[in-house]
Amino acid sequence: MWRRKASGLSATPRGAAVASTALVVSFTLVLASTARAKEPEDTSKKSASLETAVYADSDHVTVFTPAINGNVENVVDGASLHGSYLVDVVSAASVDIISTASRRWHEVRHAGALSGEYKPHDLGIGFSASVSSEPDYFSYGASGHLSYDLDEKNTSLFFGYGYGHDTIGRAGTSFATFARSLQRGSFLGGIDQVIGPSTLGTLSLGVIIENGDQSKPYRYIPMFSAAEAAKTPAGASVDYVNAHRLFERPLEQLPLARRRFALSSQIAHRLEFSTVRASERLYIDNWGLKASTTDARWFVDASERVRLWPHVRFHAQSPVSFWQRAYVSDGQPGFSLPEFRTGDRELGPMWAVTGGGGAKVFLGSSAHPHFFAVSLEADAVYTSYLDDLYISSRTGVLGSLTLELEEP
Amino acid sequence: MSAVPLVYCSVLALTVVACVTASSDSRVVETVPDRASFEPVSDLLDHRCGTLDCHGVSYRNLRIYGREGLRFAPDARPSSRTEAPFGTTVAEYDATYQSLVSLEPEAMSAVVSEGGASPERLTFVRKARGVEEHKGLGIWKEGDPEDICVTSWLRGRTDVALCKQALER
Repeated sequence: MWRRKASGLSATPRGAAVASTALVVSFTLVLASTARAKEPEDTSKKSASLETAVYADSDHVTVFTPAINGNVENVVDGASLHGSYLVDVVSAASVDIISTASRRWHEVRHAGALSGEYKPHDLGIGFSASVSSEPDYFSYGASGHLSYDLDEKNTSLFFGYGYGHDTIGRAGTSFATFARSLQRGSFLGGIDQVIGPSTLGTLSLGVIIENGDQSKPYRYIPMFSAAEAAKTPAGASVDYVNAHRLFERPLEQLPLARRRFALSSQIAHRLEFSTVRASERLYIDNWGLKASTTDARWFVDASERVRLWPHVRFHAQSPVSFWQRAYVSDGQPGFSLPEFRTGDRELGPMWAVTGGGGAKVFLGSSAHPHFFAVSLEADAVYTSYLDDLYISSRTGVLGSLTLELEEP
Repeated sequence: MSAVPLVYCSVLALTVVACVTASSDSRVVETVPDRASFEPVSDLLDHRCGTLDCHGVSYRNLRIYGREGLRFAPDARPSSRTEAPFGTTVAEYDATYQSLVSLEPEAMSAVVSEGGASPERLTFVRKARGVEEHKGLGIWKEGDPEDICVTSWLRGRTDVALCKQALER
């Protein structure tokens, strides 16, 4: 939850990157020694990657994310293990922060995940666990899933359940002094289907049940008289809001339960020298938010060692039922206020378009070209907020550099 | 294997969810502490918290108005004098009251409804006591005259004498 305030920078991305590089170098040495030593046949396939991503936007938010990933496929017949660790280093001076006369804040989040699957034949079982920690937010979760292949593996059914628990606090304050809990249960079921010799489709339904107060403990909502609220324009500046709002500015308050549903579909089709992958996700929840997300990538094998891909994504959503650009307070006595009130732009009406692409170059030897690869990816995203205070659009850029090692 | 059952389940789920939404018209009427006995408390807050580099700023979520900092009238200036027209005005007391009691309406209603019990449920009480991160650090400790002044007001029995004593500390 790096949108909130923190008191200062508590870790350096350079330190995390150095540690990550050391881990990958060590893993490489292990791979090399394994290849040279005379040992019983090892049918497992190991790979590791080091990724560095950077995000920056026009709302003065910057995020630096180094990450490491490790995979072992076929540990024993049909078993695989995956692990990852990342650090988010966030620096933010967004309009939500400066509108309350606060200064730029910095925050660091650590996140780790571990997952595995065992599928020796048609029936498979898998698990995953994750943990995330930042000064004012702690989250952990675990899940399990089953998969079953039918029709000579042309059809695969899958179903899983996950549980997550979030502890929401305030920066610089112990959880014993202030904390809220949010519990999350998630279900995911679906089908992978071979549609043709070169086409694979997936259809899935996800259900997430959330209970708890997930209101932001730092977000205060400006209140207006009915007359002023009617005149407040979209994108009204900080000065305008402070000049026209009432004295009361209550904390954000969201409903204490949320039920989310998402129907997702994906199709991948292999052409002669390229693969097209497209997905569509329809979302709805009991807060009234409805959304559609369309994503497409076209992976082109430019040569045996070079892969290129353009990327486009479009997202559009309607607001939650209790969304107001300018909330109305009925004033004294008793301050009749909206029961549910929010300033979270991610709950308002918006659309966003993303465009970019990437390239991957395999730099291994002629015998094992995939032993080492470098990937570079960059996206630009333009977001339009249709009914908000302070801001009406935002432009962001996201870039990542990934180094990958794969055992021959 | 047909995906029709999955689609049926999806449509059913979407239909159920579409009918169950958080109401956009529901309102909450806050239970607030007494306005009439607020002025001694406001004088204390103005003196200890209302400077122009702290809560005497109109951009703050908690705005504190008063003679020692942020004035309500455009032509008014900070003053050490208490008599009219230099002292804190009724409009300034009203503004500070509205800003303070509406910061956390749900928590304030709970504290006041329960006779001022567990006032640490309010963020401004915790910050003043120094048990929560606060740029102004801890202003007073639990049990200090300043703390009792504020919590007595939340209980509905403002200790005016103690508020004046705290103001002179």
